[in-house]
Amino acid sequence: MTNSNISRRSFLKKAGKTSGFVVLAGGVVQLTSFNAWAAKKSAINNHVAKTMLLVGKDMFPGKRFSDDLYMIAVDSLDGKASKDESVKSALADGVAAFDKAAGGKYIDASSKKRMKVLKSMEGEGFFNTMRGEMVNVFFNNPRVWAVAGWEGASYDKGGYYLRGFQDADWPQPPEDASPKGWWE
Amino acid sequence: MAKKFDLNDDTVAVVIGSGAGGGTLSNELAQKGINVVCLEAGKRYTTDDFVNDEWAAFLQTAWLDKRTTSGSWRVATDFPGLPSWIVKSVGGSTLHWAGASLRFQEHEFKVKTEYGDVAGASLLDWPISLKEMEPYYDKAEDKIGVTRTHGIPGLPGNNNFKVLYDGAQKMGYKDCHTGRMGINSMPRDGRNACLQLGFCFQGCKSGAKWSAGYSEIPKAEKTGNFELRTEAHVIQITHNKAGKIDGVVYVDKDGNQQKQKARIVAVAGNSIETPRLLLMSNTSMYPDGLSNSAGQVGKNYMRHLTASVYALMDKPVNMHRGTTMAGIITDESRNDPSRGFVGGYEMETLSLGLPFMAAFLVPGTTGYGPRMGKFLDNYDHMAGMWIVGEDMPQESNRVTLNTNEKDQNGMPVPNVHFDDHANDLAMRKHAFGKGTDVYKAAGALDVFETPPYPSTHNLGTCRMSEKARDGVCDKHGKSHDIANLFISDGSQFTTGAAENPTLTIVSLAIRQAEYIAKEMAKGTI
Repeated sequence: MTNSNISRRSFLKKAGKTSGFVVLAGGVVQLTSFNAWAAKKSAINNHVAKTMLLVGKDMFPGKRFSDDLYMIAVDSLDGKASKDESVKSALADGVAAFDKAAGGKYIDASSKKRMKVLKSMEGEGFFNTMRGEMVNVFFNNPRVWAVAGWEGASYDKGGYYLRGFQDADWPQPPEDASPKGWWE
Repeated sequence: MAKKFDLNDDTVAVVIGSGAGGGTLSNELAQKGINVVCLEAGKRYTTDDFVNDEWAAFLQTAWLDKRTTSGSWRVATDFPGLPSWIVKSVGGSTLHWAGASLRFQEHEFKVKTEYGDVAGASLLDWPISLKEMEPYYDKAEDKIGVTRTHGIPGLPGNNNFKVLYDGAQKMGYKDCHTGRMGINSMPRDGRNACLQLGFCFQGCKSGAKWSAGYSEIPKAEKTGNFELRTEAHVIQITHNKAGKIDGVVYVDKDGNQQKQKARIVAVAGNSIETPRLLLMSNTSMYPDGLSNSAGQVGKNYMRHLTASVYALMDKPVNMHRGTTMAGIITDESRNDPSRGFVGGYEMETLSLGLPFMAAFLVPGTTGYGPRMGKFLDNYDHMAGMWIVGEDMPQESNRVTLNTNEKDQNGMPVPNVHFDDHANDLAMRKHAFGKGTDVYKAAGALDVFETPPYPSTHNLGTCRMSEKARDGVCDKHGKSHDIANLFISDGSQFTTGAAENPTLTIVSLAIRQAEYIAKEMAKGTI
């Protein structure tokens, strides 16, 4: 996560909200504290941001991933757009293309329709940008790791030999298959 | 006691690369009193430098020089500039190997005899047998400290292994255990015991895993017969008028070209760089490159039949805790053509952290969607295995020079062409099925069949052969064409077997050092 993302999060917390949007089950992006988000100088406009959030969520939907977490990818791209005009216009163009493919607004389309749009966009610029940001930034974020259950670095905690490396609820294999540890 | 040799010292053995092959060969030669200059393209990292961070470690240590790909393999689509995931660092890919140390099975040294003619495959028997290799396997296992050999206990199995073991029992598999691993289950040879960190691929911070970088190189340095030069990227092997090798040209860390004279040169740059270097060293005397009179350099590139099976289990697993490759099922590694293919495959647990899982579970542009989201969302419920199978050598699978693209030194980049053989496809299909069955038996809710990652087991391309016309080097890794040129890495492999290759590479390097020392003493090289 970049420093600009951290400051963004701090800003949102100070504004009393940690989430910019709530995406409802039907895919509708509802504004909650959007003014707080918009109050920060953003390179991308509200519609582009909302669409990006939903695209990220449609690509990698997860019950444990809150909308606030999906904002990690939006924030990251917003940061890049603020430094590079070509990124900004590519995001706007990409969203416009998604809207066109959805026959209106992507964010208003049904889930089924949105999956069709994604399919039709595979390999295209904005699709790749969003997928890349989700894979490389969203899933490389410790807040996302925490909810998905990946524990990150272990050496500074002494590894797992005393911290649950055999605690899964399956039968313990016999000793010839899985001998005792050096500490036992 | 780090020694410095003069660039004009033509009595030294130059070893190119410091990994499983080059690092081992360097130490073995230095122990025998032979002066060695080891040229390593990468930097030197210690265990303190390693990071428990998948992307950071990748950017720190991976070989990211420009490469191109072609062929119908999916890696060419998903990772067109990254055909392999190997390491550019002292210790080479032993920095990120998982530690599996398996001997070849007897039949895997003579597959032409065992499998017969397989259409489209350039099968060949190795010029050595298991019996000849056994003493060297023994030495290599002792050197590495392989568990379940030499009285060394096996490692304790982690969560990922518990799931695998349960599935294996329910499937009726007979041989499932925590494997023979180059990871200390007890302190040994100045290295710690395993702390079950779970970052084997990122460089073992506890130093429990054998790695040529900190296991072999420091021992070589202590002999006073050895000099390691890092960030020394060899771009040409040179020869005299008689056609004998007389040195190498390398680019140093400041970008300057240096020429090191040599009595012999041993090439161990992994199976893409090794043939590339031979091809780039072409001259009017050797217009097709060094040791290429048979036209075999770069051909028969193998990468093992890899595939992964990742399961979403009904309960938390936390597979990331502990060793990455925590256990093995060997039952499918036999040759049993009744399954619809020749050769076999090993099933070995594998885990990736969430960052890499997002990138590799379904690589490429189709890697998204509700099913993938569900797996990643429930990362702590995932279990996984990697499939290592014997792929068929094919002459058309090859490393060539792509003269349209240049690397940072202005040299042509290697192109890696690969098409799966029908036997590879049949074996992968079978392995996906069995892997899925293992996890379903252990309670999986859903299972992903994950296609190959960029290759970690790069093999062939300078294969050893009994007859000069069939390969590049003889049974000692010595060039068929040039008496003082050696191939010292996995490029020598005549065929790939179903076994993780490092133990065999190390064994061959020990054997080769013995041969070189003997021949040097006789004055034949």
